[in-house]
Amino acid sequence: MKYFKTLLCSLLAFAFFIPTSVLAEYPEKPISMYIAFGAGGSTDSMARIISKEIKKILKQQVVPINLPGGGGTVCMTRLAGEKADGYVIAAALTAQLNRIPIQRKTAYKPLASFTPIYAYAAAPAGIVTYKDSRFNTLKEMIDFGKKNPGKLKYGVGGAGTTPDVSMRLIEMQAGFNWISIPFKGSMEALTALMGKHVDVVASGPKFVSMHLSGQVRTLAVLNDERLSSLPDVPTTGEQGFNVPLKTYFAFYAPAGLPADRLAILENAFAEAVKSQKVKEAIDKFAMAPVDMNSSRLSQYLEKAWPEEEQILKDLGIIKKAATSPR
Amino acid sequence: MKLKSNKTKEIAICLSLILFSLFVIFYLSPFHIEAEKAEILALSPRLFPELASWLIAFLSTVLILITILEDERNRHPKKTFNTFAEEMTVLAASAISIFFIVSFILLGFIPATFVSLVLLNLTQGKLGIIKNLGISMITTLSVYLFFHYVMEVFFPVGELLK
Amino acid sequence: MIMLENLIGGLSLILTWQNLLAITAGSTLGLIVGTIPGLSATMAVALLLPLTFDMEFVTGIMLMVGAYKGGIFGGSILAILLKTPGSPASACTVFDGYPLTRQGKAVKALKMAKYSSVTADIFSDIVLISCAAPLAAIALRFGPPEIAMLIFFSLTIVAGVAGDSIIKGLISGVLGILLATIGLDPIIAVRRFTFDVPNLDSGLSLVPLLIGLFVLSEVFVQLGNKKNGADEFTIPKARKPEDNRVSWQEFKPTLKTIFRGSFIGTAIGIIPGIGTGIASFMSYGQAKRSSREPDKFGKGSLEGIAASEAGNSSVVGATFIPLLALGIPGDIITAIIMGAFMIQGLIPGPMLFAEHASLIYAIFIGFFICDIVYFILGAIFMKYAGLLSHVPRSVMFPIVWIFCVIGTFSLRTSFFDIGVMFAFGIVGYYLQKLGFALAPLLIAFILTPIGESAFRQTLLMSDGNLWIFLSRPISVVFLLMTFITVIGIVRSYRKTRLR
Repeated sequence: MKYFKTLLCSLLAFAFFIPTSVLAEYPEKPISMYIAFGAGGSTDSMARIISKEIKKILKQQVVPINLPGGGGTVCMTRLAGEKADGYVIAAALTAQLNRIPIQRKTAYKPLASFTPIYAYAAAPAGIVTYKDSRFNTLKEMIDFGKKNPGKLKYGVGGAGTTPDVSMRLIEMQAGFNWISIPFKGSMEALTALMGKHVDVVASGPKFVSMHLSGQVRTLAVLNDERLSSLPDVPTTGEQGFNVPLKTYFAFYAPAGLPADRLAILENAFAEAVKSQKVKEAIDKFAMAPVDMNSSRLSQYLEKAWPEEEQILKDLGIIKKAATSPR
Repeated sequence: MKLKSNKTKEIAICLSLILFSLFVIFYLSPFHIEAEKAEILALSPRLFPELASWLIAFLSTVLILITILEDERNRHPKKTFNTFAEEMTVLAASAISIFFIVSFILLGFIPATFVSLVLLNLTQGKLGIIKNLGISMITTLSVYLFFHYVMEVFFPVGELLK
Repeated sequence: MIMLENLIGGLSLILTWQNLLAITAGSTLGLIVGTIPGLSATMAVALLLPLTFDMEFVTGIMLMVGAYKGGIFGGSILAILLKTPGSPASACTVFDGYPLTRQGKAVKALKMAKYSSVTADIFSDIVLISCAAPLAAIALRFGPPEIAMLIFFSLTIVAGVAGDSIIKGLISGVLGILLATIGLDPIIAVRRFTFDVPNLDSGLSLVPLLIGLFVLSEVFVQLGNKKNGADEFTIPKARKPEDNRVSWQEFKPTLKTIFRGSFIGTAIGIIPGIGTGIASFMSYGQAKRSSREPDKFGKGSLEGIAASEAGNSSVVGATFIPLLALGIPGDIITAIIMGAFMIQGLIPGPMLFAEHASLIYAIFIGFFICDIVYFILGAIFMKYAGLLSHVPRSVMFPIVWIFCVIGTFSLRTSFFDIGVMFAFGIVGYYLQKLGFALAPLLIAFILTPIGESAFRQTLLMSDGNLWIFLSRPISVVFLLMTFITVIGIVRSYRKTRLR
């Protein structure tokens, strides 16, 4: 009698264990999503919203973990060292895979250490000034800069970031000089702008909401096409400048992710960004939606590397890329 | 005699601080800061580290002077160093800490924590073996459950157990 | 008139049972998390962020605000009872809170902390409601030169917390400056002292450093300091009934300190980019300098607790001023809360005030309700904390040790952070034994990144010309304040040496 009971219990216990291992299919446990920036920022907020949608689609938890630092490189370095089993992914930008490694040596190989999964939006950048500024157009500002060399200073969210490099391109193409004052993020730069401590700022997406609330005035959008949220603001393209730099918000996995798992993730993301909530959020954060699956994203990254390298060499910022891509 | 050895200890500390600051200024700063020499030192990334090191050197020198010139009567007799037993316990705790990190990486959270707690309690010598194992086990499990389910922090599986 | 309308509108929005539940739940979680060594208010708030997505906006915000305020107080409970601060905000509370605990007056210390915190909280909430916009405009006047001078002035507090040997305290501080330079240079992003370790690119992380330096080193001290008899227990029993109460006679004289601390904390919270860590230090330093009994500081002065707590509580409400008035977060936690705003589709700033004023007023009123709730919760918590008094220290501290390690690990699931924490645990232990105060190191470590950036940005603005510091009114004011304070310090140093 005693033994029968024990046998029954152990069989029942077994019964609970077997199904989980036999019917296992990806994803069978929570997926960790490393986020390359701190909580509350646009990358973080978008990643969290998207991960909630993914949870509905894949029926599995996606756990966000913030790993800020080094402009996003700390997160990517961590990702590069993880197993490519599809249970660890990262939310970051494309800048961590071209602009930044070209300028300083990173521990990961930008084009070899990762499997790009999906890119969902492009981050706009703009040149803004405070609302009662004497400059009404970009041209006025550049003319001032030419007549008064060394007097024009622009604030920017970090040295070597996309807006910063864009400003230097304009500098080179217009034939004058302005001085970069790096701050810790676009938010700080915009704050300094509002206090009139700098005359102009080159900012990431945050400037849009400030423009709409009347706190700053946008002189130009660093893009070729106008932003849908700011239809009256001219672009640098229209004004004759060639500023081809783009930054996309994207998700990555470590290199070597099996094709079947990659496909599952890719489709999940593609579906997630079509949801109402995500679309609204992309709008609210003033980003331009894109739809780049893994192969298109990889193609973009491959193409962008030599282009970015050339731009940075032409600007005199580097002599050669600090990291080799593979 | 005792007071004099205190003074010597103080001077030794100051001298090592001076050596350290010189090390920073002449080796670490030029070689471990990835920048070329800027024309204006004030704009260079080397400014603050070097300034800080010079300050340390200066303050240590001042301290040495004060220590040498100070009147014996004014010294507050401070017990700054431990008995041998205390040092041993602290060393043991440090060793257990290192052991913990290694076993955390290799074996995962639960075994590492449990064993380390048991060892730490042993250094205190106040708990009987059964109480020790009991408390350690309960603590380990409650911490695990709290972090896993409430804080959503997932502990990695140990390398050796993968 | 409009304000009254909005106030009433806000009142009706906030007084729902969901909101009250959210405030209570958030405060409870904050208190629990704050009391655990290694965990902090920031973590509690970050944890709650995803939960707020599906909630009503005001409910979600109140949840996080509750956690914020509760978390800070939790850290103070920890600081008073175990000499281990939960975050930089409570580091100063240790100086006077812990000695009181050892004297059997733990409950008195806790109550003092609570009364000061709540008073200061209410002060900053009133400021928030009445003058958010104009104050925010003043805060914008603080550009890099002003911030640099403010930080320079703040560094003078170091002398106040330097312990017995000011010179050693200064050395400690300068070491803090040096440690803060490890990582990527804030202006041109070149690596400094990272020895090719990728984890060091972002520098030494504050939390592992704080936990190691203050908490772990204390664990080592306690483990090495085996005691017997009455001292064996974590919290000594009160010897007299007055030890469990704070009488009006004891509280009244500290009101001045509390108001000064509230003022300082509010000012620091309003200026974006300074962060909240140093509010309690500045309040403490100022209180010590202007106190009639400065020698009591560090030995169990109720005034000391009042100063520290007033500083760290008033800063909370104040950080919402730039957030709500300008859309600029005042510190990390308000940045997270701003994320919650954005996700709900509301962009904080003047537009929000114009279009959704009643929502903002609802939040304001919610702040007051938070204060009331945590006053009550605090009392309940203290009763349970009292249970700890039966636990012998030799058992308590290994458990604290585990929480330190796991708490630090849970920040970024990083073994490197644990390593940093242990390294600083050893460093902190020996620094203390050799007579070097730890607080200056922490203060300098927190202030240097802000100060260095501000200083170098200023030089970029002025093309390398140092006269810029003298050409702007606010920065001149702080420069003068620094000189006056330094002279004051030198004078009092001379007085102690000549005794």
